[in-house]
Amino acid sequence: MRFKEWLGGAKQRLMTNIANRTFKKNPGLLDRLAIRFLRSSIGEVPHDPELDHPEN
Amino acid sequence: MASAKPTNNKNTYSVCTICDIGCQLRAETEDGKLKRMIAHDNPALARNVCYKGTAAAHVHNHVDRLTRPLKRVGERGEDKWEEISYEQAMDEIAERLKKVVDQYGPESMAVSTSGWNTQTTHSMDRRFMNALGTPNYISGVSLCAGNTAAVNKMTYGWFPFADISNSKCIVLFGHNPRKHSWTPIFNMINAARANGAKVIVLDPRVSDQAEVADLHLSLRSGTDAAMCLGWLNVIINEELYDKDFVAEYTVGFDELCERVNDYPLERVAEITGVDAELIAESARMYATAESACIPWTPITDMQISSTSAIRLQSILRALTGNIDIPGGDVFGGFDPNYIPESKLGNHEMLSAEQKAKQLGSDTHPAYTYRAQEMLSEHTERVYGYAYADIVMGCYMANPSATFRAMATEKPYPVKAFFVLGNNALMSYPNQHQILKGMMNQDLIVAHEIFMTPTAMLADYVLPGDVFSERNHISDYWNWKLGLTVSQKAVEPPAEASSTFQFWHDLAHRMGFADLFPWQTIEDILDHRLSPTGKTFEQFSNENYMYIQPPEYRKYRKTGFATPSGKVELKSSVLGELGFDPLPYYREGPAVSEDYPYYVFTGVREDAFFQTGQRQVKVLRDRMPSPKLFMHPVDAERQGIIDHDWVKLQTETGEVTAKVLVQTSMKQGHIRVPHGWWYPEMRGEAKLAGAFISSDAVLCPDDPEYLDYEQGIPHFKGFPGRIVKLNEPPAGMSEQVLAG
Repeated sequence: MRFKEWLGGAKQRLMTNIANRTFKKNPGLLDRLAIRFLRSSIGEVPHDPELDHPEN
Repeated sequence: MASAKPTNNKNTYSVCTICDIGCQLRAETEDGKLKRMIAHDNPALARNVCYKGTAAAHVHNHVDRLTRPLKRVGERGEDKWEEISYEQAMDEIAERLKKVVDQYGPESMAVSTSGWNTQTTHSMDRRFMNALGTPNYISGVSLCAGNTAAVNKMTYGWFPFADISNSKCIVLFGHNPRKHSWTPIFNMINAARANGAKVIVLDPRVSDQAEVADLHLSLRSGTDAAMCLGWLNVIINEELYDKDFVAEYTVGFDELCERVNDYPLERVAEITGVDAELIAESARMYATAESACIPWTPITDMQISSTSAIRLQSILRALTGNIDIPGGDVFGGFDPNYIPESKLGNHEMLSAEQKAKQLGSDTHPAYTYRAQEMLSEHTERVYGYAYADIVMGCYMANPSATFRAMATEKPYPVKAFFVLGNNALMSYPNQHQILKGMMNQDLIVAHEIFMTPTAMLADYVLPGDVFSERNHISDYWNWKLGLTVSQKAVEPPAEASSTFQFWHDLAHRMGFADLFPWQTIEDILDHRLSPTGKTFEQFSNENYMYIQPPEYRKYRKTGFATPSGKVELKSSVLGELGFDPLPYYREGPAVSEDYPYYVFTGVREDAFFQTGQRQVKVLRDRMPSPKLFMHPVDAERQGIIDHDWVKLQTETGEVTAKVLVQTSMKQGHIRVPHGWWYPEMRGEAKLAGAFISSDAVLCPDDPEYLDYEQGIPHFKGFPGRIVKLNEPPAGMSEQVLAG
């Protein structure tokens, strides 16, 4: 259990570091790799028509 | 119709403040005007958007936006105004405030605000108040999250944020995150569920979350504390708790066991109306999960046993070993990259004598200075600074006591009321008392983006800015560790400005200039980011978000920020204040032959946040009129069918609304939506219909209706009755009548 918890924590720190790379405005090489990793694991989010409003 | 792709090249990110969640969206501008607000381009954030957020352009560009300062020219509440310059308004406000303070003392000024709405105050309100000498700050967070933060601190020193995404068991006490309300929480729950998490929902109603839950406990409204005691009974007596953690890190376990044994499952089943075996099964599911969390819920915040129920949720987290672990409830602490509002507020400046005058602290001290300062040295020991104003909720006056003082001038007069981004008239219990209090003021100043019923009662109304019109960095009010950039996309209209500017300008007129050296929002952002060595411009050019990598079980090094240094199952703070140091269940007011239904209010609807947005057509079209929910059996007994108009009456007031008959409702319960008024009735109905459908008239705030420790009203389960109307109410628009 303790090892599993340690592993869970280490995974969270790693995922947070990867996420922070994807939050950069001017991504470098490693940041772009992180973005590619994110897109491959989450995929593109399709547009949701429920979010649309008529224009004024 | 809007499409997903932006049509300009400007990559501007904004933190949406249409509601309190703070999703980061993208702003698209055209010719200096906000054109659209659209979903994020980062796939990890792209689902965190609802239709309120994408309606931001309709809100921000609305023709009814206030753009010039207004001064009252008619009787108070008559809604007659003249436009004046910002400089004149601020000069006159300062002059009149000085007179009030000279005559009645600094504590005669009270401030009501909602940090959710105003966002960029940077605690300049508290800084001003502490410099002036008034402790009388009230906020909607006294009923929602802020009070929970204060009560959580009593048990283990901080207010944890649930790590929902990584959890294996999620417990929702009445909370109903859905696609267009609390959207990121909804997405986290879905992610966890996809990863095998179980979800337990405790809600009188078969809510959206209850429909898909692994277990749904349809408890009687307002009985959360009893349910938690039932869970503890199972967890302790079946030895499902984390024995090592309890032995090493808690105090008061034996006394807690004695108290829990007062609540055998049969008794809890009788109180809550839930089968004993289902209570036991759900307790086992929670306690034996690999990791489990109980996310904050606004429902537990608003009950007559609120303090005990919040503490019991904290105790459940601790006993099951789920605090500060992945997938559990995680302590943040102060963000090392950003100076917290807790520091900017300068709470140490206010004298002990003035703090002692904080309204309500003598009778209901839990979230006032009186109780929270008992934790100060321990907070400093663990977190490095004595004042932790988490979710802005830890050093507040009690709203009911404040409005009573405004109305009756007891225990002392409150004669100047400043209300910012907060429709106070309709946001606290006992709306009639609030009106009485406001009518007895020498000075009322409102800072708003639209004219509201509260603003109509003011002497001065200052036009506020909105999130697309200012720079900001959101830090989640110290609840979780992360910084989210919000960039100014367009200029505010005419003389609209921020609450930061308001307090800065008032402070300079009141002789506190040396305490307010930051001239602009960017100046204060630079100051707050100084631990990073970057300016706002540098930080926001590099990142649009930064999350502090998590650390777990930090208490092993520091202990807990409580007097004992441990998790206080038996609260020394509550004991010292003269309250029961152990959690308990207290029955709310009983239904009767005259008032046979349990009414629960304060319910959020997808289209709106609190009392806002009723004037925004694209949102109002989705929710044209207020609707009560009733069970079909109750409706049939009353001779009511769908869309009938009714009056819901309590001993305190009545609400006019339509009825939706729903099998998802629990029998004997009536659900009332929060915050309804009718902007379209401005000039025709008193205060734009603020007394027609507002749930704030229903719940009394007499002592027997208040939680002992916090003074929280019992919004979840007070007696009421339904009277069918034969005709629709007069004066309603066609949209309301048809919708």
